[in-house]
Amino acid sequence: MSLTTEMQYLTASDGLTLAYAVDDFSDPWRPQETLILVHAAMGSSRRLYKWIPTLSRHFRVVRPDMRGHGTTEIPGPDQLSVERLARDVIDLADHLKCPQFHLAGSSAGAIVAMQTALDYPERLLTLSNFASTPGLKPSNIDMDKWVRHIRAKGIKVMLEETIEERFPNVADKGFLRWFVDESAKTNADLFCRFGPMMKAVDLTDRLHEIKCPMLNVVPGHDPLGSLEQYAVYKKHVARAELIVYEGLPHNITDSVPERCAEDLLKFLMKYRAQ
Amino acid sequence: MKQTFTTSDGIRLAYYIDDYTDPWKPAPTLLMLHSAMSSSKRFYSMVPGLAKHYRVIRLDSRGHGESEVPASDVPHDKWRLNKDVLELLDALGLQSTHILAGSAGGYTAQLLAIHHPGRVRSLVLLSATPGFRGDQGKSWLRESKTRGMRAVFGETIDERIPVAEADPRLIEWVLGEICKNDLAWLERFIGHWTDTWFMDDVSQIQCPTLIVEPGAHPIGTGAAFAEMEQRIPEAERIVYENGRHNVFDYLPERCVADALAFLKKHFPEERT
Repeated sequence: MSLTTEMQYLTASDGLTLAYAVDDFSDPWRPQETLILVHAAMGSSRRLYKWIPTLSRHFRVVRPDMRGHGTTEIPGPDQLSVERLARDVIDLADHLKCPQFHLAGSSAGAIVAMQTALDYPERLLTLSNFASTPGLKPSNIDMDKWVRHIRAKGIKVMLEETIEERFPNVADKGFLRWFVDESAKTNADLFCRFGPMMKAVDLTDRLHEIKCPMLNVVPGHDPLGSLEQYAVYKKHVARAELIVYEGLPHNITDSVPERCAEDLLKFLMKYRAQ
Repeated sequence: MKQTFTTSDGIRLAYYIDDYTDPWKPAPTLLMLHSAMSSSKRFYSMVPGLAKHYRVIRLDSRGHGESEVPASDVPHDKWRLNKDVLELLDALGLQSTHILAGSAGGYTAQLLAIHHPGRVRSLVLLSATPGFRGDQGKSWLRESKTRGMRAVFGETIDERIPVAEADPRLIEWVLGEICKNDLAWLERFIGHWTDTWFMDDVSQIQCPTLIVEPGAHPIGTGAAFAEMEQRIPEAERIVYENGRHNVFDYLPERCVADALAFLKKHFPEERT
């Protein structure tokens, strides 16, 4: 019964219908500031529900469903690229008449956020990256193996077989069931396009172009990426901050969502207009 | 998410549901009832903190906010306001709910707890006595008719929000919201509450009740809060030192923290 935020829709510049949710309990008497929050692969806006109470008290929080995910349409053969996903963020901001915004992403959503920061630097107030290397090329993810697993058994079974290793730190069986059910809504063919596309992305050489403040919150114990792979931002981005969640594996945005939201809020409040 | 329903006497009422509880668990419900001259919107700052743990429903009382203003020939009294809430609960399939209410919303909340005890699990009453005895309410409205609401409520805003402490933009916004109300409706609505006093009945409230008392007692009868605490069997009272009437507008975080602590203490099984 929960998760009551109504989905809204816009038409992207290439004609695809994009869905998004808005939650805003910020003071109506302050100048409004917008935070766009982009979910991970196999996710949707719904998976970020637990971030909302913390953040929506201070920002208008906009959660898009990435193309192919949630209630957004599945893109055609020529309609899926990381540049296109970044353009969707801008199309959404334009639709909301929002010239500048804070942008945060989880995992693959963070790669989209970085691409947006590189392609449309004038639009971002801040950039926040949760649990992502700059593209999946510089990560240890064996995408061919994932795709084979999904092709053989489907997303649901693949997740059921790997759920323990994804969340060794979460005991709540209800959460694990929900995570599998939510993620399994993802179209398998779409993931088999989306995953390899992300695996080809490496933004490392362009990171120095990011001039806005950048928060990086990374897992400290993740077989998908070493701390060295995650810490690359401190080296290349002038205004990068790094927070390491010691001992946690990749999926911090689902396993410790409130901690993520609080760290993000602390970071954003430093850069809020007033 | 805004929705509407139509009452048994044909008035369209608006309500909002916000819920950020874990989707795999059953969520307890908390109904918020706003004060006179207010609306669900004015509770905005309390919603996220509460909706993390409760399915939060906010009703725009008839004649307020996005709800329809009843025509002058539609009968009105406190029992009709009770029915509005009961009909909403029925429409949502809710047998019972926690209620958090401000001022006049709290009059209805108490009457519901007295006359329909099975429907109310607990009460959090912010600046709410058993009715609104005295001439204060009628004088605001009388004056507003000649000098305008903006002037009357602007002059007395310090009774509601401490001018020396609060952000002037909040005060300006609240005043603007107050002045959106239909004066003819307020005369009926506030007028009816002014004639109502049910202190003798509050001993029948059986559910756990938190009384938040604005310590400066700017509006209504200050001594009533302690008397309520004595009469309501499961009551506890918190005094906000030097607090003004509209704690729900200017101390939302404190109200939320006190409400959550109270609810957790009495209903630990609902929270994980």
